[in-house]
Amino acid sequence: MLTLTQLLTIGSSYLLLIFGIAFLAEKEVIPRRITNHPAVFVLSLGVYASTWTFLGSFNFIHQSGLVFLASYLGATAAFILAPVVLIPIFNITNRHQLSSLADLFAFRFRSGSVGTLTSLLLLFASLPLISIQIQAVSDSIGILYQDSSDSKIAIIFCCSIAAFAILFGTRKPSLRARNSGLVVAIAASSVIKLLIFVSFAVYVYFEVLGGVSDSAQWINNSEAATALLERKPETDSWRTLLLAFFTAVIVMPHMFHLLFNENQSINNLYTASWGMPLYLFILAAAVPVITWAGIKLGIPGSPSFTMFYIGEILGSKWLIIASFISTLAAASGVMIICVLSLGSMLQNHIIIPLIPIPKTAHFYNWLLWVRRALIILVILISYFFYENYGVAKQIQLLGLSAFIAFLQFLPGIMVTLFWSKANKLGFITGLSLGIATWFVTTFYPLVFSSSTLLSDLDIGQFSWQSTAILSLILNVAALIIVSLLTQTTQEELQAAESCLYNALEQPSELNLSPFNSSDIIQILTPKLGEQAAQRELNKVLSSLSLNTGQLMPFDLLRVRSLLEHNLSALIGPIKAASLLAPLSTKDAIRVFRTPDILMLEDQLENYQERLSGLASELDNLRRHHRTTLQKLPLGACTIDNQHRIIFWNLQMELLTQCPAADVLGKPLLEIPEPWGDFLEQFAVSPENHVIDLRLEVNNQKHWLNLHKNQLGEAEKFSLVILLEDDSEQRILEEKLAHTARLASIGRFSAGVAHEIGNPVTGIACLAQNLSFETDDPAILETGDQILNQTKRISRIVKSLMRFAHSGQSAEDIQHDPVDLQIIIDEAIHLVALDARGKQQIFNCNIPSNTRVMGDSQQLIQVFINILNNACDASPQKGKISIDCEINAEIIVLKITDQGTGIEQQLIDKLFEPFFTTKDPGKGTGLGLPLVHNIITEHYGSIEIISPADKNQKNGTQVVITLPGLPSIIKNDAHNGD
Amino acid sequence: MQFHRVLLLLLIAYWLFFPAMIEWWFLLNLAPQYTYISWMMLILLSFYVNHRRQNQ
Repeated sequence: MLTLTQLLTIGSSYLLLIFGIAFLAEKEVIPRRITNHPAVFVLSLGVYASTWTFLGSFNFIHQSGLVFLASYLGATAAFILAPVVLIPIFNITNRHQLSSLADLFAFRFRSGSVGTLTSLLLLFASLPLISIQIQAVSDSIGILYQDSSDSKIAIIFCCSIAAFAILFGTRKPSLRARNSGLVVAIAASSVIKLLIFVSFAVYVYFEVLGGVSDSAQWINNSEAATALLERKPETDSWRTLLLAFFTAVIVMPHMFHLLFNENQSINNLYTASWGMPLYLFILAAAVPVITWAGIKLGIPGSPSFTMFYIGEILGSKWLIIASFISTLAAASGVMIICVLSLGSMLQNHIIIPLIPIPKTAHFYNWLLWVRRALIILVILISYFFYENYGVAKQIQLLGLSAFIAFLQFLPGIMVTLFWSKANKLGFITGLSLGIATWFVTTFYPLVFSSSTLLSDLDIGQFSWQSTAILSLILNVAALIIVSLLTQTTQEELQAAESCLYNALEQPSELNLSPFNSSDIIQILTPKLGEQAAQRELNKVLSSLSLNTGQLMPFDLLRVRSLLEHNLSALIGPIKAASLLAPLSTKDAIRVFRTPDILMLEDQLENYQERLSGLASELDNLRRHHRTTLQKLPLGACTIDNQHRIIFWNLQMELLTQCPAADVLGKPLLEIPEPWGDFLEQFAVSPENHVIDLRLEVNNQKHWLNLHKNQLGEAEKFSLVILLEDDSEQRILEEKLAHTARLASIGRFSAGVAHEIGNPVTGIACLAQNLSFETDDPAILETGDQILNQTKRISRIVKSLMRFAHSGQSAEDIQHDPVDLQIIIDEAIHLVALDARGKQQIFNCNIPSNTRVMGDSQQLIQVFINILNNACDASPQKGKISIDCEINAEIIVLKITDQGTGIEQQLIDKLFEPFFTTKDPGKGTGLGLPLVHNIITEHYGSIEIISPADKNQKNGTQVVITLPGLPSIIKNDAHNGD
Repeated sequence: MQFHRVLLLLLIAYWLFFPAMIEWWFLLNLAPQYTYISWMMLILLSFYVNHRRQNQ
């Protein structure tokens, strides 16, 4: 068999292995994807299976049969109900950076004394639990080696635990910082525990019980084995135990620490909701098998150590080693996390309120050393308790008393989640009464009177179930009655609202005067020291992407909120709140202000999924109204009485090119020019409606209509401003006026042409007659010149007439299907008759059967005019191409030349009547206006692009768009060279 | 909110009906086996619900 030294070496090796795993995880030798994996988190929760669950189960199954399952099923219920119990608590602790149950209660009841009381009572309640871990380790060695010293083993064990907790649990000053090494080490110990337990059960099932058939036969024949699971348990025990273990999952310091402090994601809790029940199921399935093996072998001592006795009877050193390591794993995990959690509670709620931080001390180092000292103190107290009261007590009874004590914190948890009227006084009264009852009826008889609490688990004249329930009823009754009878403060109500299930973080009232970042440092310095204050503030500012210096109210609210959360993780929620108190003020009148509204909107966006019932419906309504305003085709913005922007819709973003995220919370004057001044002037003007205000933005003229109204009756209240861009309407009006002007020119031209036509004809006749009346060559030459000039006048007059007639109503024009290819071919043919036309190369790429509805003669006129212009501008042998694109029944014709191009400033004037760039006498200035009119009458548009060739900066392209007929068939391009 | 009333109702149910349910359960012939089977079913159900939630 093993010697004591060998066993102690194995124990030390196990602890070193756990140290090593933690070290490797901290140094990231074990990759982050493993340390942050949900499975690691779930396995770390296996710490729940402490020596009580692990060893106490054997005692329980012996005494009360299936009642042993209560500890597994109670925890299973808590994990399966994670979405309604664990996740809401996780949300609160995560949002407010609360690191322990004491922090949670102190925050909920806004009282440092609640935190102190909770810390002390949790320490008191945890003592039996920690004591049984020490006891389990020393007793297990004591069973194997009668002459071993319990005290020495206990001291070695406690020192190892203290070293581990200090090395891997106090690396970071923030209590909310994740200790990945610690979590991975605990998860590893849980795996070891599970593997040993299951392997042990499988081994004894085949080796001791004889496998499937033999074991079934033996169980049927053995009275003790049959009775084991058929013993009818008391229903009262079941009910109380289930509730106690359900509570223990949330309340026990080590479980709270792992569930809410070391956890970073809700998803981990969802995984735990089935992962932990499965872990517990496997453990629970092994218990009856090992117990049957113990019964068959006839173990001589306490059933708690069944595994050790089996190993001893079978003479297997491996079974003994496995039993010892599993006990060590179960005990060490609980102790490490428990002392760590208790240390942090005592730091926040006993040390920091009582002892000021020395001015010379480095804040973060001071915190770490205080925590280390407290861990040692908790272990010393636990060892003292074990030495004086814990030795020789039944493990399951000591554990039971601890679980009943933890039960007293359940009402506090429930009211935190579900009842906002509960107050500090009610909580303190209820908890004190509950714990006092527990002390008198359970703890004192068990620990101090050395009552044995034998098989029926009676304590004195009451059964333990009755006293547990009695203490709970007194606790709940006192909490409810005192809370109803006493006043709940406004501060408590606010904290309660933010803790409720589905809670929103209430924006707290803020002084409107802006703070400077240096003011915040001054506020923090007395408590944290200047260096730490600067560091904390910088951390907050960088995470919010803010700069040092002046902080606007909304930013200040965000800074204060985040700073309070971060400090809460360092010095507890109450101290953090009181430290930042100068940053907030109370207002007598509750009115919504910019930061409040923006914060509320922000919160509602984040909390949408958590709203249910009426709140969800109201949120849907809010979203509907908000979307309506957001998508309003008018620019809409709301400003508060300080002229800071509260709302800025999409149209406003489009008009001003200022995204809402950049302007919300800022004063109107701070938004980019010219909008800031423009809107500010309107906001302060007495007029509520202003129309046709002209504003130039990026060299573009805008005509704007503005409307405003007050959102409240009081003077200087919030304003809503509507901004309407009327520019498009104005451009259309200008186009209409232009068309009307063209029409009037047309009518005027027709009149002028008619009046000029007759005298010109007369002059021409007289000039022709001159050749019959004289032979004077000078007079004959003059006559010819007169004739030439009258022809010129006639040409102008004809152009005027054509222009005037082009303005006739659409009803007078006969539109027939026209093939554009034929029209353009004819136009090219006519242009080519002229001397200038002969010098050009025409390239026509129009597919045949490209048809439009129109007047063929007018369209030929259009193309003749355009092609003539192209010929005039082109050099000799210049290429003029006519291309066609058909997009969704829209025909786009592009006539491109290689001429000199047109200057940009002249392009806008080309369609004005009588405007020409040609030499005097060569152009009438009516060609392109005529083209424009004809194309418009054909429901098309014309555009001139120059230069057409961007590289060589020459050429002009005329783009004509015409509606095509639906029967357009894409054919191959016809080449009209 | 009516949560505290719901809580009170649950407490009453716990006090009055829970013991009766447990008593009935343990009067069943194969109570231990049924307990383990129901437990496993509950774990599988939780696993399925979580799996569906993740894939949504």
